Amino acid sequence: MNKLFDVMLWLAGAGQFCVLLASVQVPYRMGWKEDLAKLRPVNRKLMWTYGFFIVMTIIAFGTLTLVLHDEMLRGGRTAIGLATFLGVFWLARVVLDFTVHTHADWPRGIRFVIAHVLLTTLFVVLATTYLSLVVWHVCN
Amino acid sequence: MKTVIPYLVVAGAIQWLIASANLVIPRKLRYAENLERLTPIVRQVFVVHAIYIVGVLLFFGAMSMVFATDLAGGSALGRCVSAFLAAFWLARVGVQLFYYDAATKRANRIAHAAFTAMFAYLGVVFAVAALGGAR
Repeated sequence: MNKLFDVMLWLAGAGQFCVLLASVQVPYRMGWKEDLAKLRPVNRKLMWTYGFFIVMTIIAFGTLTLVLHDEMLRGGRTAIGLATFLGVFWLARVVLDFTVHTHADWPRGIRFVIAHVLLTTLFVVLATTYLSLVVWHVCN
Repeated sequence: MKTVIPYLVVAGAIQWLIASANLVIPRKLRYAENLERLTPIVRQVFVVHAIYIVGVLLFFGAMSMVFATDLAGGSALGRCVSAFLAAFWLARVGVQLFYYDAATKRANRIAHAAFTAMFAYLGVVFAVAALGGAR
């Protein structure tokens, strides 16, 4: 089991940087520039700020998972707390994907269907990795 | 290391306060009528980002209070989290001062000053914690 989580944590760390590869394309592919021009300046800037801080948070998640891989695998109190939060963070993203961000609202085209499936799969893998790590540590 | 622990607990409370401010801000900045103008997917991204920021702040707050000793240098992971939180909040000071709409800040001077002070406090406290908690 230790070996399995060893590999899964490396993949989860890298997976979060893959999410970022998708994130950087979102403003361009979803036409943020034209859309956000319709907002008052304060709300437009708020949207960019939210986006910036979400990206920064995901960079930190990926970095912490890769750099502190051994600590997370050992499972101290802070590591379990952090893994719980990361698991809930990505699980909530999966739930939102099936409730708020349904595919009906995505731009049309096969590329977006593939992108949506890949992203959702990645969110499921991330949530599963962190939550199962927590369960494993708690049970041991 | 111990010196900074009470300040980290206060930092946790401040982060919950900032998260709770997000209950008022949507009405104050008229999110609903503004977001009506967007395409559904961009509107949803905005809402999801807003929800996530609140969730992240609630977690940061809880972590600062429950794991204050670790964040103050009790473990490598704790110090790394503190370093990230310091960068997060110091960047937020920069955004508040140099990016946000000047007219809105002028119209809400007290709120602007209070938020800037809270962000600065958080940035400094987590930076001190990341450096080992001012042993």
